[in-house]
Amino acid sequence: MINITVRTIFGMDRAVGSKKVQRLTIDDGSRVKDVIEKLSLLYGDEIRDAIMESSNKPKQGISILVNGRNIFAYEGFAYELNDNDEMLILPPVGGG
Amino acid sequence: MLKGGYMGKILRVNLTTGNISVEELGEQLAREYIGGAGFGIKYLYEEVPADTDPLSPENKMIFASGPLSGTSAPCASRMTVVTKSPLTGAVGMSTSGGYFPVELKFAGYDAVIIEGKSENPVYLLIKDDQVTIRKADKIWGMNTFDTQTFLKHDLHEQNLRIACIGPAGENLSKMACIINERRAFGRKGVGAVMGSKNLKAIAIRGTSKVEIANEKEFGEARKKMLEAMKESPVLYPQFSKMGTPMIVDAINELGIFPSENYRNTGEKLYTESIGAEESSKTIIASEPCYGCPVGCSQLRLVRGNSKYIGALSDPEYETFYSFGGVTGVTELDSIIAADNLCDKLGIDTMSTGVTIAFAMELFEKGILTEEDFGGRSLKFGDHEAMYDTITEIAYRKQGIGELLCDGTKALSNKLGKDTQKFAMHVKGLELPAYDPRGAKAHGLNYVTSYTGADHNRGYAFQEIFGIPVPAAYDRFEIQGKGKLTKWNQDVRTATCDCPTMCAFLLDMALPAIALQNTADLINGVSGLDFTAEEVEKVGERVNNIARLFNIEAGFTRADDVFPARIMEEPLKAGGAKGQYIPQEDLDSMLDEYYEARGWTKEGVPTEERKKELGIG
Repeated sequence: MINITVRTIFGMDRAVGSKKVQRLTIDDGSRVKDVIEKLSLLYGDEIRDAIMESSNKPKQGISILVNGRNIFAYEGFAYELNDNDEMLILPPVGGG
Repeated sequence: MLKGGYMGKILRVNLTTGNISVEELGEQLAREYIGGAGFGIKYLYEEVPADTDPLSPENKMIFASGPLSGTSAPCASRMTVVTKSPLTGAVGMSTSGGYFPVELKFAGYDAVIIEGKSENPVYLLIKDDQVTIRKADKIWGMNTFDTQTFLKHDLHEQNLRIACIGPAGENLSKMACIINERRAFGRKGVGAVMGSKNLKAIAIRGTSKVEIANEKEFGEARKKMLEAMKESPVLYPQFSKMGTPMIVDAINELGIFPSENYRNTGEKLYTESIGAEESSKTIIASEPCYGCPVGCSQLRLVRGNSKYIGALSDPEYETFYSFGGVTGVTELDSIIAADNLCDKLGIDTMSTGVTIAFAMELFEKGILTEEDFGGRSLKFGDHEAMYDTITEIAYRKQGIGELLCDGTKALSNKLGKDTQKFAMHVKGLELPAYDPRGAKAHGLNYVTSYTGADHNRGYAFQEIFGIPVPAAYDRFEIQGKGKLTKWNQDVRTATCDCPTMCAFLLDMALPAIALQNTADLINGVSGLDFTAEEVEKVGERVNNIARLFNIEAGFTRADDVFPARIMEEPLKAGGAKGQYIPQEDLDSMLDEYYEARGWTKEGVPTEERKKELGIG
């Protein structure tokens, strides 16, 4: 098993137990999609529906980073996680 | 033949001779440069020698709106001003919104070129084809808000739209801006150029209509754009209710919200104090620009038991950085008050905040002392000292005001080489609100933008918001960032700065269709026949001609560089921990960028490239 941290902001935390930061214990070799499934099991489908358009496509405006890196520049939801990774889920934001 | 969109006239005003003339806008200029920044940079390149002293009468100011301004195209009330920047010595290009931009079109002009220098303070009054240069002795010395109110009363014309300078512009602060309504041509010291010409204000009242060449074609393009806006995941309701400061939280999470002059970005976080949840409590209303269904600008009022009670302003995200993170300030009310004060005094919030942050670090290092600050201290997080310093700067008051008045680079030059390492500017323009160490294409744009460290010339929304257009990118990687930066700069120039269109639409609603949308809208209003590729080519042409001006002004590859702090100090904590941009990484990105642009290794456009673009 490995331990990871899941972070989110800006209202998205309401879909994950109102926790902006939480630690999760997951199986070795877990991928981002497995974490989303686990969060859905823990807190309901709202988080999956907010993030995933389909099994390989995010909802428009959703950004997911692992250790700061955009997973969609790599394997997307199949991005593999390692012990102590930080996964950040950013809801749609804009401006600046 | 231009059948609509364009008014077909360019107004030229010489303040030395008092001569006022009108020139015809040629179709070729419209085809090659579209409008706005394109027109401005073209005229600057042709008429202002690159070695001109920016504050001399030989410098010019070209105010221009694009063919979409004043039509019912949404979010198109934008105007650019182009001049040689006194802050950077490079092309200075600044944009504003509100209502002033469309009024120039309604008065019958696509652009107004200001030349020379008046002997005494004056303002320019444009009422359709009646254009007069008038004495400004009564308003010289007034703040920007009073100037606007006074002129409307004095001229018995409440519908005037006015752009003016405040005390900072009059005192030739190289950070001075030009204010219209509550909005600003904010950066690059354009207000100082206006001040150097003894031009206090431009007041406009127009009664014409912008003609539309092909209503059906334009209507379809407009409808498509409005639909894309409705489908945006962020424009409605979030962005329209919260405005740009909504991203304080996200940028903190990404670990790139600059803190305390960039010395502890990622280590000190600001979401709890000045993040979206707290700051939204201060919002009282939206203040949209002309013809904008979004209305992102949020008026905020300081209430309760605050030193700044009653302050009313619309600080953007960048100001939450410049009077928040980078100065280490966590007092929300002081950010609102400082924004209001800067607008009144006519000084750029961004450059001013970053320069104060630089002075704070100089103070903490003992390079500046209480003696320099009139017996006061200036420490990170001290919002009262920050607030009070703004007035000192705007009036160029002896001591701290005089020291900080011309920005970070000038202050660093006064104090010596050792301070350059943490003087946070590129080419003299202070860094915007994203630590480039954790967003490499965003950073590459800072060093290659023709205006200096300017996020708005090539915003890397792929890295900041994860928008996968033209592809998804890892913000920490350097490969591919040269090509991406060229694309970001050319598309931004062509679809926002030239037509003229609000840049927020590009990333939030139109990223995948912006070039075609721009072509369709321009063709609809003007009867021209742009393709999406030709629109992009305009962006490339403008970026190249601006580069040529800068090269003639003396800039080289060596100036496409970050402050040493960005290249030598990895971020110690947060969402971008460990990231920095060493010289070899910068070189690698620059090589790729120059190659993508068809420039030499030294960053000079080749003869072949110039010929292909029809410039030089």
